Amino acid sequence: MASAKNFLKEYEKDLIVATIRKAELETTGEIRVHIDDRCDEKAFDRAVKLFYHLNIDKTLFKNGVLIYIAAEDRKFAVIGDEAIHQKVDNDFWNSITQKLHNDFLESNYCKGIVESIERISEILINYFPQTDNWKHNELDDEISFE
Amino acid sequence: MKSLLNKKINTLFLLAILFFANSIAYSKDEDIPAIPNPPRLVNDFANIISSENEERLEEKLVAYNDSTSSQITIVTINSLEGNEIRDFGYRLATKWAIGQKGKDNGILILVAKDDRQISIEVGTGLEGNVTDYSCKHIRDELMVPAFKQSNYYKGLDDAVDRLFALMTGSFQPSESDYAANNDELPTWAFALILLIVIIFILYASKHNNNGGYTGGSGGWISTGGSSWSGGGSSSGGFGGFGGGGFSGGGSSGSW
Repeated sequence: MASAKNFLKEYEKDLIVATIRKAELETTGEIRVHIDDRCDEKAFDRAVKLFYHLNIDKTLFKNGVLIYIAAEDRKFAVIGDEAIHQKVDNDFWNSITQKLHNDFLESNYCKGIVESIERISEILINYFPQTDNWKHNELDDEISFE
Repeated sequence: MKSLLNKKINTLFLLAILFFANSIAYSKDEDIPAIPNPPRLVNDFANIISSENEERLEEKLVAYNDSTSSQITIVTINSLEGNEIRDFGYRLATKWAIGQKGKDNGILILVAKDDRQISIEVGTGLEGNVTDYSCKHIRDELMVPAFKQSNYYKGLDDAVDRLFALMTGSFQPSESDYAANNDELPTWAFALILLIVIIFILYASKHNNNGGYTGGSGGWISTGGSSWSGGGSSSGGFGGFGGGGFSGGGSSGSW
């Protein structure tokens, strides 16, 4: 059974972190991935709590994104801060979760996460471009676990 | 039963305090301009320099930021609207998270046009190189004279050059720089002036006012530089607002 620990292989974690770092070179937006074992509430609610707990709500431009996964309970949520939500509609978020759903069903966990990050970063780069003059990395790029 | 009631009242009281404290914390920064998106290092809200010169300054600051990781940001505003410039500068530097997180290596040059005031805020990581006294010198000797002639670009450009030099160590402040262009000034007089200034700065910071150093008849007031605790995440402290207030968007699923 999948747990937060063995959900991703080490090299897959590295690949995800590298994808986040690459994206954040071009956008002021911040992307985080968090993986739990269990989640005894709605994945969305847990994600919102983590959003504050991990300080993703504190980004300067209100453009943080959290990809949340409960490995054992096979639930997930993708949430983004208000500045992003003003630029996209629910269809965008739903398309991301639809993709994760399809990939996860086939146990393509890493592929699903990486390609979702890439889709999200397209939006972030478009609306929140990084400029050479503002090199903050506001949040940790590493995947966090409970 | 009574203790339960007490507990409830205590909780309510605590919530009321938290709510009140939060509302203060939020209302306090509403007067600070939002950081532009995409962010820039030269933010001429008061329109005191031409767009051509603004670009020139921006390029210079970007180049410097690239080579050293220290960050100088310039902000000009029309009016402080009753705020003290140092308080305003401090809050702006904090809100915009100027400088690298954890390094506190940012500098904010803040110009309030109508108030005719200048403030140079220096992150604590740079205070070893850029002292309060160097800042005062930059304001009084480089910025105020140029500003009096409405040559804002020259004042800012010269200030930036001097700050770069101070930060890279290529400019070592010497006594004569502080001796008001008087090479003849004896050492004891310099020491006396220094002492007076130190006392003055101590007094000013103790009384938390602007310091009110008047730069001459033009009325450009220079205020002391101070430090701020940098980093984007230094704000807050109340934590855990719960999920209720989430105004972003998202979607969830399962497999």
